[in-house]
Amino acid sequence: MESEAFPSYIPVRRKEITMRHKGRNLFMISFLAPAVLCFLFIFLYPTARTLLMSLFYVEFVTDDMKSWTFIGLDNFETLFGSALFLRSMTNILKIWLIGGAVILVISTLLAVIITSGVKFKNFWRSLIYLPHIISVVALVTMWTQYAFNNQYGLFKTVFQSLGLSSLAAFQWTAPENLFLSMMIAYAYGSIGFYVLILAAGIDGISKDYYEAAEIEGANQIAKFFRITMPLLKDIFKRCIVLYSAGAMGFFAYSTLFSFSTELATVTPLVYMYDSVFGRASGNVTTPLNVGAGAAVGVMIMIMVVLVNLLLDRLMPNDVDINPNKKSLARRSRNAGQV
Amino acid sequence: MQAKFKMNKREWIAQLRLTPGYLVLLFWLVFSIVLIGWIILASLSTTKEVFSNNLLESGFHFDNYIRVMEKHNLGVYFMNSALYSVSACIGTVLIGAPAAYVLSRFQFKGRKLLNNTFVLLMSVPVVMLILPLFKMAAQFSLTGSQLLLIILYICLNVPFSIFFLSGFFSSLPTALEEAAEIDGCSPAKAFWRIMFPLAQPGIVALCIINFINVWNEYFMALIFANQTSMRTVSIGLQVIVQSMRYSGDWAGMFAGVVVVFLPTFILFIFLSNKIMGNMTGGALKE
Repeated sequence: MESEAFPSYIPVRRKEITMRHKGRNLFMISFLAPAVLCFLFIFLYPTARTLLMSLFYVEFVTDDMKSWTFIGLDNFETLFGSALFLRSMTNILKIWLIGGAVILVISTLLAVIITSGVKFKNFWRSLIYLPHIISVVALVTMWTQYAFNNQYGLFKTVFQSLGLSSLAAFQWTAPENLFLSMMIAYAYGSIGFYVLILAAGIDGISKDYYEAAEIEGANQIAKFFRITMPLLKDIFKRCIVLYSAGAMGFFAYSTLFSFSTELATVTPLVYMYDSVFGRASGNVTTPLNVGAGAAVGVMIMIMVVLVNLLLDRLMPNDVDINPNKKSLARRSRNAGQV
Repeated sequence: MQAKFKMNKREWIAQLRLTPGYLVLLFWLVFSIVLIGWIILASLSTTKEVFSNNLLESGFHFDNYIRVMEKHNLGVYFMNSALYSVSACIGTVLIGAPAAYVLSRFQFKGRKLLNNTFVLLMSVPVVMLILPLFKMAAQFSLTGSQLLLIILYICLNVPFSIFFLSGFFSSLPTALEEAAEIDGCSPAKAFWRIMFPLAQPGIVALCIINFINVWNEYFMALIFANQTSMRTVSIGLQVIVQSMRYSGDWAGMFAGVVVVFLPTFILFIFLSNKIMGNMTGGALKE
């Protein structure tokens, strides 16, 4: 790589324009080549091959293309005929809709608090972001082995000392509660990321709007719904796009929160891992079928694209290229009339 | 004097109005301190103390760390993760920075197409890549070699790095390159001698983000690091947690958790103010 990045150049004489031109092309090619090669071999070729693979029956990942059998859309049929896969789809729907709504509402609340003029703003922002930089495995271990533990756990101790014995007896890691526990841990780990984006967005809103609204006697809630919300629309949309992509690829928390009952926390990616590489953990077995695994990948990609299309439909981007001029002025005028 | 007092009073009232907000933040702070603090204390206690909730009763037990590092191979995993993270940082910058430079400062046919491709690549789910990559790894007999994960971690982070650094390069003034060109400096030399050092703040921030991402990476490591000799800390910790349940060495397990999160934790504590602004710039990834 380095030798490519440092081509041995002979200093160019200024007269030889054609030579210089050639040298420039060579320079650009040598600078772009590694990245383009990486794009072709690590991204484009695998994506195309996975798309193709989803239409074939493939027994082992390492099989040559010659030994694949074309079966059309049978793999997708297999998926929708599998109870485990359908369960994984309902789980992902719950993670996406309910989890997404809760996480984004809490993130918005925290972002508003952080930008409301509290002291040590940077400290709070870093503190809330902190769980996001901790390894998911370490974080989940903290939750399952300490916070949710039913002998010396944090929640148990706290609820006990508060005299709430029924809450203290709650079995966080019991199969029926596993999904809830997983989502709590996931929310703690991911909220900081959205708070960071939203807080930056709120900081970008001109203070004039809020001052004008205050003069007109608007309270915090009115200011939030009349100024912050409409002006943050694009940033909300970006948060939803990012959250959706994360939710569709939900995997680490799901595997780590599977002790014996995967059904509660299984996601499409876990199903895919099982059908390609054998069991991830626990005792649910899926027949080995690499083609079906590829089909899950294609499904995940389609879902991501669909979510993005849906969002574009529901929340179209402002056509106004310079929103700071007209539309904002109009909105702030509305905001003033609280 | 009176004006100052008035100001203070008004400020006090304003801050007082924010009490509910402070309470929420304080709740988060206390919870985080208890959660992480307890883990650290438990990692220095004995398993018996953990279960009776009398942490540190018999003093500090640093032997938990020695045990988990040596007996449970966490030392090996730690060195692996360090190798992957550092080489991914260096590799992505060496591939990404020149490409970002050309893409953000030169006009040529296909520039827009390339730029859009790199942005698009950031949103391709990894799940679409792993099956063929697994096959390719076997084909080039890289299975079971650390080189495999080094290559993967470098390449997978290239699109984001290009996207991230393009912003830095396009904000630099053109006068310096022109001066370099007049002096007979080749464009490549001008880049490595002048532009690359100028983009240093961006490169440092990118390295920190990439380091944290690779250190914490789980999915690729689970699929490709299937041997002890190439496991990362994340996968290693998962193995340790699973085995601890049977061996009953909970204190050792908590020591493992601390070893895994401490490097990124320390990096973040010292550098968070430097990188927080850039993290939002990186919001397009994830």
